[in-house]
Amino acid sequence: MHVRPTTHRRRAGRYIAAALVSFSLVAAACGDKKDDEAVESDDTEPEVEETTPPDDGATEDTADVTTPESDTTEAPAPVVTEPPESEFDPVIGGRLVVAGEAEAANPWTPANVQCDSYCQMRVRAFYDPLFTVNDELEVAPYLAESITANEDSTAFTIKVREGITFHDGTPLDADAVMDNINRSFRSLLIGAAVKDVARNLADPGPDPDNPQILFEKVDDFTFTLFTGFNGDPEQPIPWPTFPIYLNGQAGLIASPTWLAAVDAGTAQPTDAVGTGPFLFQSYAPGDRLIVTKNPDYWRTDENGNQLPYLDEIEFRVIVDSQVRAQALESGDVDMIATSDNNVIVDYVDNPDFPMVLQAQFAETNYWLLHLTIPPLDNRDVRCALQQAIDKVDYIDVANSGYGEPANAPFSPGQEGYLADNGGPEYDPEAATAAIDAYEAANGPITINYSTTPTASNLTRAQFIADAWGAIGVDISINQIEQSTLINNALFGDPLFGAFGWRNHAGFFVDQQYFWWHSSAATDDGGLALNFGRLKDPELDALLEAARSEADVDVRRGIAEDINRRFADQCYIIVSDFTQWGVIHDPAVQNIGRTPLPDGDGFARDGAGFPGQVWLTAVFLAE
Amino acid sequence: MRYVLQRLFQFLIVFVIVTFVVMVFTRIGSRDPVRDLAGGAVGEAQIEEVRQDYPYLDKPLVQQYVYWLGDFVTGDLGRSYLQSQEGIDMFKQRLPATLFIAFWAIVIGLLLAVPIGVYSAYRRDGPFDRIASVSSFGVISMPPVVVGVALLYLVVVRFGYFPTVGASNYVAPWDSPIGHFKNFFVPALTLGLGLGSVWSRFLRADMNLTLQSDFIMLAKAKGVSPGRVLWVHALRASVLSLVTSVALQTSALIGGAVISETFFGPKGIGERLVFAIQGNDILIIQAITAVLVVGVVIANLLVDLLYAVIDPRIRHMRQLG
Amino acid sequence: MTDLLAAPSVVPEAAVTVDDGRTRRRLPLGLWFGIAWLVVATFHAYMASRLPWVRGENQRVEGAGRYRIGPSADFWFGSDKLGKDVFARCVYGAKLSITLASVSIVVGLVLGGSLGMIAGYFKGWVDRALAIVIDSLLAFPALVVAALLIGRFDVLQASDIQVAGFGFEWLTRRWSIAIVFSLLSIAPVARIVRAQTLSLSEREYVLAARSLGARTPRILFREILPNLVPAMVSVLFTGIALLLAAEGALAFLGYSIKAPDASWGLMINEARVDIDQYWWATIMPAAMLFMTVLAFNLIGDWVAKRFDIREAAI
Repeated sequence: MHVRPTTHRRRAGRYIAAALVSFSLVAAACGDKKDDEAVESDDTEPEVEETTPPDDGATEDTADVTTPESDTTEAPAPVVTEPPESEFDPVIGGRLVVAGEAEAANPWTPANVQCDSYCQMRVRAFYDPLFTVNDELEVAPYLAESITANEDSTAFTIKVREGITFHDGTPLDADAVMDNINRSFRSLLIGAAVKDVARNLADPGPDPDNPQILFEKVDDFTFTLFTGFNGDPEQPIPWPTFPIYLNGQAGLIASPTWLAAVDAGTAQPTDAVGTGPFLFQSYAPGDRLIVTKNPDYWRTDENGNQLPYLDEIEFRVIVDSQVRAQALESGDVDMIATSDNNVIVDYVDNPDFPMVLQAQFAETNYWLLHLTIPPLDNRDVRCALQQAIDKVDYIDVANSGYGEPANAPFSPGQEGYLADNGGPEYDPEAATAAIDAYEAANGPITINYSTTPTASNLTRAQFIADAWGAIGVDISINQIEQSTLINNALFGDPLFGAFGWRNHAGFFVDQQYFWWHSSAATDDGGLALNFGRLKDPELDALLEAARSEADVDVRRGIAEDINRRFADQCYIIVSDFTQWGVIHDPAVQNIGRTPLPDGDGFARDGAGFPGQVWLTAVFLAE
Repeated sequence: MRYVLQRLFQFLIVFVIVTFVVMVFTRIGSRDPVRDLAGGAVGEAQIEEVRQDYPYLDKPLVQQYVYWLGDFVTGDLGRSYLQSQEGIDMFKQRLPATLFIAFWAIVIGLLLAVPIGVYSAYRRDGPFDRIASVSSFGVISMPPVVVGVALLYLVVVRFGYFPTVGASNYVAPWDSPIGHFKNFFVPALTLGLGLGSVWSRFLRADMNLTLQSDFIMLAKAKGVSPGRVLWVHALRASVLSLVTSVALQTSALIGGAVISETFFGPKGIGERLVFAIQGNDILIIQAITAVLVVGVVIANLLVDLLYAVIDPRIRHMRQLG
Repeated sequence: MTDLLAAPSVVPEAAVTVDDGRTRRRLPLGLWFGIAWLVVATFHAYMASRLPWVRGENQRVEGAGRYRIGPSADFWFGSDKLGKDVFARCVYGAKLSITLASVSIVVGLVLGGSLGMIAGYFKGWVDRALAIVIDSLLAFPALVVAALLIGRFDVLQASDIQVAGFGFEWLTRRWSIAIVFSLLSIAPVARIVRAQTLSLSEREYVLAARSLGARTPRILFREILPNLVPAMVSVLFTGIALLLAAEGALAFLGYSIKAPDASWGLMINEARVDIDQYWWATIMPAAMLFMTVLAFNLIGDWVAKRFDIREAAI
């Protein structure tokens, strides 16, 4: 029979793609773990709240992170290119309409928002982070003036810039920042990421189960934070990459006056008050967020013009990536972000709509497994499941054939990435043999596969059903709403066997600590951010070593060992790497060129939250 | 008057039954309504906050219902913690889009139904009547999803003018009539086609009866022009039953609007409800279904009242049938 | 009339009984079409695995480049983005869709019919009480309630909750849908049967039987029930048509059958966004759904007209 592939694909890639993207969804938690997209999003991405760049220049003794050179043969250095300068002079004013994939769940307070990548783009409109990442992939001060580590990186002294006020007139000072950190660092999600920051056990505050963060206030604008294993100040641990955490959600600073009012019930938790370039104007959940220019913003560009340039930004949520692209083409929106390769492929070298591609430090798409239930506790079964996947075929089906197969949760540019980590390749015969052997001893295998009921995720589910079916593994597909699905994973519900997920963006392997360390894996029934219940003493030791290792090369070696360990044990079933495209109308200028406050380069877009861009210095050409 | 009170009372009972049952439904399989309401993966502090705002959620269902009903009738429509939004604000935001879809669907339905129905009745069994009859039967047999797909393929994809699947956006007509048309035409047409078909058949049948009645014969005998007999005398007599039919389609409209909004946008109450169901945002589910039920009940009540006022005999017959 | 159950209201065509001669001549064409379509569709649906022209093996097309093949002699309806034969999936989907709708409407007929008969025959407070129940059921926004219930049933199935020692592992989507559809069918059926019973119970032979001292069950089952059969047959067909449409709507919202099983609504929903790239994966199942709903409606409507059951023309 003659099989004619259809070739005429129009701009809409396939919806499917979205699927893969989507799995990544916004999970509840910080957003980065996600599995399929939320209900509403089709591709949501998560992002990790903290990403890591190398550490910043400010920390003096932290290792200087330069971009990792490719001294190891396999790890390509991230390519750092300065974003092109606009050929136009900045235009003051104008209204920008941006569309992204998913609504953030829960309130807009920095401690509680479940912030995925589109959320990261939006929160930077009204909040400033303490630190950000510059073009050189170093941590650079933003709202903070500096961060100084002590000799062994167990204490960090942060100095806050003077003379800045919040939108409500409250002055920014050390107390305001400490109040924010005390809230964020104790929240469910961020708290897990920074569990090794010391708590004040002597004076735990109102909630003894969740003691306050230990601060030492130096003066009105300076304070010190300490590390402590599991929060214990008696057990300080070196943590040279800690400052990277303050680049993400954990470093966003909101007005303490407003936060107190929210606590008291006299202010809406959605009416964000920060120090950022835009003022919160109105918010319709699931639909749109409107922000207007903050005329008193504390920043100017290099010519002394007041930032931001834009008068107003409307952020819309359009869940489906194809639809988002169509909205861009029809002129309804000016800029979209997507991780759907089916859409991205249409904008490669598209003269009508420029695209900024963020292909490094990105998440990996994979199938997350519940590692404590049979047969998924068996390495041979897991590796057979991996061998059953033809990644190239998968990318054809789900990604319009565009994209790179992944071999591990380490994407190009990340610390620990290896082009070849020794993981299993596509080999259905070997997989069938392994499954037959297991089934002969233990009976037939059925795996519960959970997915949210979006078209794109169903495509992914059907692909995996076919692939695993071919090697003799039956799967039972459960379509579950996203919140339930995440809860099932958080609490280790028996229904949770496997599901599609997107996660693990970031620069440093340390940023994956709380996803993979056994301390984050409680038993089934208890809440665990280490969803797979991955408990591997070897990995624990490597992660702890990486956390406290200051030498870049040594740390990269540790990360590569972690990578190999994943490949050997098949803890997750990987498919491909995400990449993010920010596609925009040609009139949108200056993307990637938001200057740093100290005038030494630009704030790097998507640093740890792929898909995010800074809009502070974006303008619309005439 | 007694009749009116009686109907009113009956509808109140229906309202209570329906909203109570919906509340029970939201609790099926739930481990903890407080956690559902808080949004699932949240910390203890947030759960505690929800518990303080809604302390009654651990009480027996009947008590919970009484608390909820008290809140509802005093205008407290609940809160979505998942989206950090008060129920009342959610309605202000989402209801206009849904109302416009429904409104334009009714307009389109009537614009189709009245001419087709009247002319079919006038030239009964003529070629027009037959074509209209067959095609309206065909359209009635099209599930909303099929109509959506057909419009998507025949209209949206071919003419780049309309936003495609899910991209329609709420634009108020007073802000931009053109934008409003662009965004609402296809979703309203999706519903309006089906409504128009139902109504045209209804109207044709009703007018067939009317045209044989004595007063029409009399009018004809008196030499009133055929056009006037048809469009004024006969149509007027059939308007009442048409209005009934329109009102009776209210709940069909709701279901259709959910499909239509999800298919094409704009984001209205139906889309929000589906989202709430997916996240088990219990207070929002309860608030929206309650409002929808009130809408259906009021439409029915109005029809009954209309009958009661206009023609007590019909009222009696309607009760029978 | 609830949304699911009301949309296609073929209203009073049947009320006009004057032109019997014409209708008789005209209708059979549609009726024959309806019967022929149903015979062919059901035959395919239930015999799919034995028919050589329906691709089995999970409906998968083999070979490289098997995705999104346009309709051709080999692939009547083309293949979808996963490389599955759309025709084969339509056939397999038919079985599930039709079975679910038929089973549910039969349950609805039994329960709703009993309610309607009791209400219509006993009148008085029984009728009034049942009328409230029926009104309440009719006032539910049906599509929404169906989605809500099925979503919650999923959670219930996944939980370890037990009632009287019984868990809910059996509560798969198929069961959920059957239960919900049965519930939703009760009220419309009850309404029609009640009206029919009301008028039948005034007929001379019923009055005669009663005056002869026949007992109530005998009157209900011997005198009234047989006369309800035409109405019930009509409801059976139009009801299936409505439930098929409802299944499409639910699938669209993500609350119907789960993949990799197929249903027409699911197929439409999976492929609709790509309609401009490969229309066949959306249009073909939509056409199948439409033709089948039409066929059931044609038959149901013919029965309603033939026996002059105005209310049964739902």
